[in-house]
Amino acid sequence: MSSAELDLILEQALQLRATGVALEACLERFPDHAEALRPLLEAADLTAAGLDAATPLPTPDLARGRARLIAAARSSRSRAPAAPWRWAVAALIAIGLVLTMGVASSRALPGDLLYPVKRAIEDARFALAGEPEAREALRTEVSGRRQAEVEALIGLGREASLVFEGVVEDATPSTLTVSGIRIDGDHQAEVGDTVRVGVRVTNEGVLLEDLTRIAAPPARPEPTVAPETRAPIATSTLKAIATERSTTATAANTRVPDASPIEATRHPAQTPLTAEPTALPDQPTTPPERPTRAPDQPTTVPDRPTPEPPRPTERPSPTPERRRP
Amino acid sequence: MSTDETNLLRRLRANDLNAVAELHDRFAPAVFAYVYRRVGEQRLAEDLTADVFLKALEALRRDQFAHTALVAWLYRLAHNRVVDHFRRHRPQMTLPDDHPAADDVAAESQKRALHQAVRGALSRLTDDQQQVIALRFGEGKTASETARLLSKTEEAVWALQHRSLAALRRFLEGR
Repeated sequence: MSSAELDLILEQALQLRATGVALEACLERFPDHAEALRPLLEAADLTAAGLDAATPLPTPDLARGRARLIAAARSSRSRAPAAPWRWAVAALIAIGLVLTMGVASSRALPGDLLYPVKRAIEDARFALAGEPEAREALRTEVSGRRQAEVEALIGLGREASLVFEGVVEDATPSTLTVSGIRIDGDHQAEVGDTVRVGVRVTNEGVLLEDLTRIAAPPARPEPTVAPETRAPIATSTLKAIATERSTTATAANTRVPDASPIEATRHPAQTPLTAEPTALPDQPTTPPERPTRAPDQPTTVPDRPTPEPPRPTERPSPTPERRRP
Repeated sequence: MSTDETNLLRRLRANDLNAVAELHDRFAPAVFAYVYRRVGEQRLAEDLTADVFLKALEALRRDQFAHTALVAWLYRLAHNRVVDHFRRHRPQMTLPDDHPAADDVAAESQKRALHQAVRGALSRLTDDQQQVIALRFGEGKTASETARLLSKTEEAVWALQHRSLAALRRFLEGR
């Protein structure tokens, strides 16, 4: 008889025993295998007795083990290393935060918490703009933003200083309109000039603090008779500014200490307004309507009755908003 | 593995505390019964059962679950824990003298001796043999139930129980 046959016969005998058939009666069912089955069935009986199979189980107290298990699970959860997808989610959240901050800062006005972020983003864009055309387009866009900020500040009645660029659309000796914004203050700019103006937005209006002529209007076709020297235009010191902010309202020949990207891209022909005489002998032409001066004439504005003493060459403490357009 | 168990396993791998509690509530009584039949002491069986579930949790954290059914895996862990216990506390393996009991105390003592002998002999079997014997004669499972829990065929279980009983007989006779 094969081992497999005895395996099956043993299983049948065990099933009989499990239904309550006595050992001897069970062996009688398998007379040919009784001798082999007897020790196996006795061992099965002993094993069942030794394992207390017939005794009901005690009621276990499993609560302690459950509490240990939950505590261990909680502990391991707090120690579980972040899965890679969690890092990805964190990165997405960070990117979203930066984008949100960028969008939110785009509406910030001078004095707002996010305004420095807005300016920093603009600086970064200037740094990344490689082509001159791209930088010029960006400069126009940034100037437009400053103008919008001025209008928003006026609408809100908030005071702040800032710098922007634009074209002089209208000018009187004590006022000028740059890109639609009326600015009060003495100046020498002319209609058509592209200028960079530092202004103080107040409840009384927009006061001129600083003016730099960036570009003159396009020259007329007729050539000049002789080379001229374009006299630089001195920036007027505004009374209002001079009295209120004597340390910041300075001569316009001063460069803003930390030059903005816009300044860095200024065309060589762009002439900052200076209080000191600055001859430009290589200047080929001068717009005909601009008054010309002899080379030995003083460079200060002729109609100014009492020339002011020389001004410091550097702005002592520029306000953040005036640093750059 | 059933959908229910697959879902539970997924939640366990995600360290869901409710799933951990559910695992314990569903399977701890069966594991306790298995362990108790092997060790015969309630408090010890409770402690070993707790160890089994802690081991299961640790294995799940390491993604070391590779079984067909949770309950079969837990039986395997329970068996390993019992084997480990007996390795440290080896019971005697010979049957007590077959003298009639003088009184209840003596009968109880003889019964405890039988328990120890059987459990000691059982510990000398192979892992598969121990599990088959524990499930068949301790838990009262049928051969087909045992086969399913151990991921084996019924024929394999029949063969295992045959060899196991022959070996147990030898061990219990002190041969």
